[in-house]
Amino acid sequence: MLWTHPFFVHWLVNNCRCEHLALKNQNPKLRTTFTTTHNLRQYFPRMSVHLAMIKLIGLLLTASTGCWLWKSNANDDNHLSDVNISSPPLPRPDAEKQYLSLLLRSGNHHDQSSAVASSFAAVSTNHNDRLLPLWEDLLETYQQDPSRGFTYDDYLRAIPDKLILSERDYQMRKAIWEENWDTIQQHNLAAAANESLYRMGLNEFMDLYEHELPQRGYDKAQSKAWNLNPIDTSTVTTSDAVKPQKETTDDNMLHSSSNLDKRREVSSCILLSVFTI
Amino acid sequence: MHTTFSIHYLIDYRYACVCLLACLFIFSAVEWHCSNQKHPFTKKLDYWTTIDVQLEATLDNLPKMVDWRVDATTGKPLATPVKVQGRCGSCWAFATAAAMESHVAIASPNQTLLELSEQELVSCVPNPNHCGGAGGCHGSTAELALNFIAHRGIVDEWHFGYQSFNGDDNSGGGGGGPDDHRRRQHHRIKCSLKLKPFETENDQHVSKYYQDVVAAAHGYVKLPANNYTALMHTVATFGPVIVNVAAQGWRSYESGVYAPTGHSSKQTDIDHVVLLMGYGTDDVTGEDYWLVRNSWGTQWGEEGYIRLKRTDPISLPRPDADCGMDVTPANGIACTEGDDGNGHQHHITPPAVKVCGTSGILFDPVLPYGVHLVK
Repeated sequence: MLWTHPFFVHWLVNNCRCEHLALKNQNPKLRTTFTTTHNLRQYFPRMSVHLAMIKLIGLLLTASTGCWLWKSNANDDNHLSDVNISSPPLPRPDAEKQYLSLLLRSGNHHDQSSAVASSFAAVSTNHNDRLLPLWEDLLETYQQDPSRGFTYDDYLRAIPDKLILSERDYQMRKAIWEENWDTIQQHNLAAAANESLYRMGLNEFMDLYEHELPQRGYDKAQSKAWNLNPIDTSTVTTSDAVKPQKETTDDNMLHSSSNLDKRREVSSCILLSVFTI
Repeated sequence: MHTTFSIHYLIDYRYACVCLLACLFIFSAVEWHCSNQKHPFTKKLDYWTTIDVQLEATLDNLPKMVDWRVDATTGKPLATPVKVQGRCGSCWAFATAAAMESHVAIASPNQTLLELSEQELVSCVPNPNHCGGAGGCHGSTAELALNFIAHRGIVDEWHFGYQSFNGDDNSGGGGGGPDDHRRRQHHRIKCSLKLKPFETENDQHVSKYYQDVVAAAHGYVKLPANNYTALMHTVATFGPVIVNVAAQGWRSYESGVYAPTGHSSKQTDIDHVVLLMGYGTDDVTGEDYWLVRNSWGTQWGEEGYIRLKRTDPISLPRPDADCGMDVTPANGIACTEGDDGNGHQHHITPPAVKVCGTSGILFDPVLPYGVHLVK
């Protein structure tokens, strides 16, 4: 697209003139015709109009090229913050289940350490042999010294692929994990006392941010519609609030944004064109 | 001779410019037209139908326990193993695919159990009105997915395997966190399926299926919102039902009948889609439950399932005692973009909605309709 740029058009015109100036020496009949630029325009009476058209096309093509590049980058950026993150499942070794059953048989349901240990049984996994020894080591360590407690670092050691991006990220995840860990222990104690109908346990979702939980993937940070709605009982409905799900089937629609987005893109392209000019 | 050549060159260049300008003008006109109008090839279709659900019927004639995981008479499985959606917000696709799998098995003579492609739904289902999210790994609804299946059918897992485990970009790695988003390169998994060159003759609804399609549906049925009886009848009579739930408290669930207490008992922010596989009563505690299939892997919960407390509103002091308000319906099933009827998109702020049942399970049940094998 570089050849369409106005600067290049100027260069082209100048070169054309020079070429004809050179030719005049070979053809005497053209000597008076191609002597100057003025004469060139005389030969092409509407040269100025043509030049303007060429420049306009150059501007538009250059702008659209830049716009296309910019849109490609913008599309990349749009999805950078939309990703939900969770870790792959972790193994749940049979040893843990056996240990849990032993603890439960011992009758120490109300003991804090038993609640902690039994929570290990819920550590979920995907039968990855590489991870099994890590959990077994962890259990052995805890069995030897229950008072040592179970820390976030222990949890991380069992998830070797876990990537902590920064000290701040580590601290935030640690806080989330510790809160969940306390909740699990308290809840399981209550469950052991028949005060709750279900049990909780450790798993790979323990230290995830709320938006990282693998659910629908809605990104509230990027949505204008996230603002909490005041509850107006006059407008509250059950299903009427939901727009009927009318949909298109054209495949091209998948990769095209909504009309509103498209209009925004057009506006942005016009702005970019102005800057390019 | 040289001069003549030069003149022709310039004239050709001039005509080329005129042609380019004309093309540019036409392109701009088309672009402008498309930016203000719906896609010219857009075909609006909606297979939203109703079925005869006995809303006023009593629950006496229903079985005490329903479990669509296994056929009680033949012992054949009617559900595939629980999948893992990973870092992608594709619960809607997993719930829809699982529902299709089970309904195909129920409907087919030999109880054929297929593994259907969630990736087709994640990559191919459009969501221009941003219903339940921005589409793909960024959220959508089971209604859209089933509507799409009615048009295009669904291929099996082996033709379009799941590739979005690490999110839309499939970039892998990373433990998450706000900073991690910036590191990722965007390479959205594109819809790589090809259309069949002909239309099927047996199904008038179908415009064009994808090649290698193995199953399809005629559409879907939206059950009445927050209607316990309708949901009970449907799951007992027709099969698994896709339900939208509030899963905020599910993170650490391990086993038992999930019945949140205290401040978390009113979890009403619908943000997840799962598949209701049946109901029953716990042998030990005597608690009634809904049997729900999640998409967080077999190691979560009870082999990938969760049992939610099931409460008949008749047993409550007030019929809506089990209800709450979802004031953020945009992350549920509501749409945030709409068409004003003149081809113009506009933003919608959906109003709050009433959701009932444990984790809001009664709010928006959806049943696949007319599921069948495609040969």
